[in-house]
Amino acid sequence: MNTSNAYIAGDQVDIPHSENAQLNCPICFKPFTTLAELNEHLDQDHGFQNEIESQNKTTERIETSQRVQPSKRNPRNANNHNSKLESSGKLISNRHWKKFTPGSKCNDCKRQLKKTSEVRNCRKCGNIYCKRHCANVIRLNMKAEYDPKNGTWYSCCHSCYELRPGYNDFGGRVDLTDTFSNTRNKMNVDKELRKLQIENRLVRIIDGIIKLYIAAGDGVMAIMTLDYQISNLEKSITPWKDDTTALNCNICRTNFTILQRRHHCRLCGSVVCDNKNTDCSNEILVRFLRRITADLPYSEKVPTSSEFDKSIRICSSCFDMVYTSRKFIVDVQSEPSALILKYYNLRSLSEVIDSILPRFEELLSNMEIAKELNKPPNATEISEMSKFRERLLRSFTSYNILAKQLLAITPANISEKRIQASIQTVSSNYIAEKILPMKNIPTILGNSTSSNESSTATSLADSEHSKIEVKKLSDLMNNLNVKEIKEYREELMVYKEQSFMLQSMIEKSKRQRNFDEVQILSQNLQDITTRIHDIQGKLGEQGFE
Amino acid sequence: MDLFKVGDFYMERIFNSQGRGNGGSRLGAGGLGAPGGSSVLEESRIKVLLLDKDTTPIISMCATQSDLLKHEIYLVDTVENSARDVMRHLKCLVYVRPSDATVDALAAELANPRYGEYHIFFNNAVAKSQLERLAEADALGAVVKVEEIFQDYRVLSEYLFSLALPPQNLLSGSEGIWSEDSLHSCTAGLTSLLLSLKIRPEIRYDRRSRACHRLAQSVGKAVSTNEKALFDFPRMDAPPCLIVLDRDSDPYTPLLQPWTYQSMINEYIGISRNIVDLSAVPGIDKSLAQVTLSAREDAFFRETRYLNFGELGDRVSSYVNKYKDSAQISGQLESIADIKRFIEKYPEFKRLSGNVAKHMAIVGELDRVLAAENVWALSEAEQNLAVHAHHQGDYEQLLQVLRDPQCPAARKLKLGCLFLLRQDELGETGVERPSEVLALLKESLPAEDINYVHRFRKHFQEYRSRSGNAAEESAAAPAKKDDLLSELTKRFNSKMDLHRRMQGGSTSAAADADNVYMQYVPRLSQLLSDLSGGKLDREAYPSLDGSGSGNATTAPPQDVVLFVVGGVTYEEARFVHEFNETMRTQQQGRTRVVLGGTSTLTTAQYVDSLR
Repeated sequence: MNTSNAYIAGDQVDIPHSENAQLNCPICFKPFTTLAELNEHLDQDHGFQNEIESQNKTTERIETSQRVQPSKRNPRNANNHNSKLESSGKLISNRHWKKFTPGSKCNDCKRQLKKTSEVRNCRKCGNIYCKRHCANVIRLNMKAEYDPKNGTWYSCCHSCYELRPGYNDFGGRVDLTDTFSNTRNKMNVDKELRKLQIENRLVRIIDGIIKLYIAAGDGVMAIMTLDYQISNLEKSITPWKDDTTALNCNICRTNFTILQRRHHCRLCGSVVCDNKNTDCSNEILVRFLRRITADLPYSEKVPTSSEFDKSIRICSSCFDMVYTSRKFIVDVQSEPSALILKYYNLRSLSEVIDSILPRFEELLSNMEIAKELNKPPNATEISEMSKFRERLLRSFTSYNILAKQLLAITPANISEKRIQASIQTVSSNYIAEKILPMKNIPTILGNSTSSNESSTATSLADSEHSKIEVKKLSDLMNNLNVKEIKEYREELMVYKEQSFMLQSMIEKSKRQRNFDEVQILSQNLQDITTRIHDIQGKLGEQGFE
Repeated sequence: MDLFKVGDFYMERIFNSQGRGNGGSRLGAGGLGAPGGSSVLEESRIKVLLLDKDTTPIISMCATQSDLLKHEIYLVDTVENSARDVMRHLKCLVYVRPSDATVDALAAELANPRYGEYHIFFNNAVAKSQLERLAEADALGAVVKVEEIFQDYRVLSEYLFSLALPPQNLLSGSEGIWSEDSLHSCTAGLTSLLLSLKIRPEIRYDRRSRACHRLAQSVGKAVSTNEKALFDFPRMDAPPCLIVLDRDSDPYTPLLQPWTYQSMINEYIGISRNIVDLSAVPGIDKSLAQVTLSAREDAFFRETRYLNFGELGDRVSSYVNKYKDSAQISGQLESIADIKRFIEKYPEFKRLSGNVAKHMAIVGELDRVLAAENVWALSEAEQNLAVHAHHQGDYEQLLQVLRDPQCPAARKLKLGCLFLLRQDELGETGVERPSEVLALLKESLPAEDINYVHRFRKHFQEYRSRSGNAAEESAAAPAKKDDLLSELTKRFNSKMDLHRRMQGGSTSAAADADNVYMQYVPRLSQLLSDLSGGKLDREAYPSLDGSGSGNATTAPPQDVVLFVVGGVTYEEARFVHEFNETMRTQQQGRTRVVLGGTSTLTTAQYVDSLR
């Protein structure tokens, strides 16, 4: 059984251990009854020949090769040194194979391969692999090209295996946008025509009414006849449906009664009710109609006189047709609400910060490296850095102010309220993520200039600088959320405890007349006190005493 | 074949959806031309995500709240909700299942759009008539994108999905006849999975189950009718394979108490949409009433979800120690540097402490339930019962558990079923033991439950006789294959376990075999090892198109989807996971398997599903 294992790369398949069990080819899974047949199959169909040859040569494999011999006692293998040439028509191309020289490395695990017996060439790409990393199978044709349909199974390396088209593919999807918009265009052709007709009628009716109104002048009689003339005009433009046959409203289907009167829509001519609840039709002022359909080609101007109060009865479906699409476009083009506008500002500000921050961090890390190497920091870098820092701090401050303003806006509706809550989460995360780490910068800068690391003393200029820093940061931090306040309070407690302990230690040292220690301790105490002030400043009113 | 990756890919598609600019897409509003405000729209980066009742759970298992916020999705709502505010400066991403109700709601939405522009994604193939209905409603041309992505299933882990169809209404009648609705949604779900993995498989099914055959046919039909349009994938040299299995072929796995972390949580506490509800746990802290447990977000859970309870204990205690170490630092803040360091690490520390508290709470609850219901004794008894044959000691143990007042009635019922099932399977004819067991059951169970035990027994007697016929028909299938618990399964001979043991560090695998609580090996394990060796019986699992039988040169499939009609257990998911990991690390990824089921099962749900 060892012989068969010699062929198998890795341990892909369990060779059944019972005597009468079937043998399967480890590559193409063709069954064989005897080992000899399987060996021959492997030699001929999968090009294992050369390996067997090399195995024959290696002394370690003598036992193996001896047991292989019986299978090779067929005429074709008798002169197996020439067999490669003879059967080249049958064998898969190996011209592209990389030559093995002792010391070659497996292309996958980079292990050094010493013996030829360890080496496999991927049948597809020809690279050299150890047996373990040439354990996949692939269907290839005689030119060693991938042929999923008619190829025969050969062993190959993992990368060739993965590179088969469609192997690591996922996420099928179908874009229906074009189908959709084509269908939409086709479906809405009728609707468009209808809309054009309605709009055309609207223009003619309104122009006509205005003309008649201007012609009528102010006389009492004129006003009386005007309504009659308008009615005639409307009927001439839109053919009215016969109202004697209409038993119910064309829209809400309510039966007409004495109270539920019949009305005609002046644009489509259908018979509708004027129920205030269903809004099936309404008298709509010409003035208003003109305003919402300003894009239509009217020839007459609306009379400026405030007495012009003519209106047209329009059913709800015609009104929707004229109004909804215009309203949609107007809404989309209008100025967004205050909340959204503020958000745009906030968003562009965060983009500015994101664009500066990487460079700043780079400078900072440069400086830290310089500090570790005890080199004096680069002067230009320092100036550049302080410039960046200033810009950053300014942006942070305004970001914070903007976020605060945004949260102060009273949301117009529930949706806005929820959006506001989301923005709050995002902005406070942003602050925590990007701004809070900046707290460390003053100290880092301070240390970087002082040659002695342990010393907390800083040069006058620097301390001044960091003071400004701290002040700005504390400005910034004035609006803290509950969580942050809690955190700061915890921090403050720790510091206070420390300061108390330090004080008692100083007392103790003083009593022991250990003044050197007192000096160091009081320096520490000073440091802590400044930090306590710092935090208290940040907490502002939220602090506790 | 990693379902998480597929999910991520689809989520990215939705969240980063872009219209096609101004050209072409905005033609609907005729006469008026494209609204010049498209630049305003581009600037309006706040997005609304509209879902429906089907996609809400799907997306909640693929994306977190912070993922949404990162993509400026600040508002999430459902299409069904008609009380939404009009906000035409927002961009709306719609992700819905193409069901008629949803399409109607969407059409109403488009007729009077609340938002500025719509990007519509369907999680399965949309019918032509549905698309037309939407196109007609969209007279304003607010829709700028329509896309089908295929995700009509829930992703539970890298290699596990579920269709979340309740097991009770799946089949009508005991003969395994599908109810029309569930066959339809099952087919749709499976088809979408195949499309999302871009595979056009050879479909095989469990010969003994009519339900499997029917589903296989249904999926096969869906694949062949959409061959050109959807399933147009490059041909693979080793064609991928979908195998439809029946829960009935291995009733033991869902009847036995599970002992690995994820399955135990599901069994004793319940996981739904990655959320574990701990609110019923006595004395639980309010902040821990509902915790999320996702293998994607929680690294500790990712590492421990398939460990057994013993290993889990070790891991949790080392996790707690790690926490203690970091907490210790906070305890000894001696210098200012210490304090500074602590403050810097504080958020990380807090996250750790939250996670530790969560897992401590869960493990504590599991331990409590185990002790309260005396699961240890129960599990030992049932495992012995399921694995050994004719053992007097096991029988005594069983009687003891049945007499145990601590053991809940539902578990006794389950144990009774298990016993009778095993009796029948071993071909034991004695009536003395069954009647003694039934008498004991009657003491603690109502009459209808006793009835159920008989029905359960009959169900599997019928199933066995069916499979017996099948075996006779195909002389090739050796009779021993029908013994669900052949000696083979006991031997843990599946290759992956062999490999696990060879890996050295995993003494646990060897321990597993000796572990009295995990003696039974799901039948799936045998199937997997047959599969990887290319030895899966063509007679027992015929191919839909009838080809392949006798054609011995077919290689083992490289990509396999296993689907269990009637529900899948997390225990089986563990085997698939281990199989995939072994294949990946030891075998150059020769075979990849994805497991799915109509739902996921606990022991109680399984018992209920057969009522």
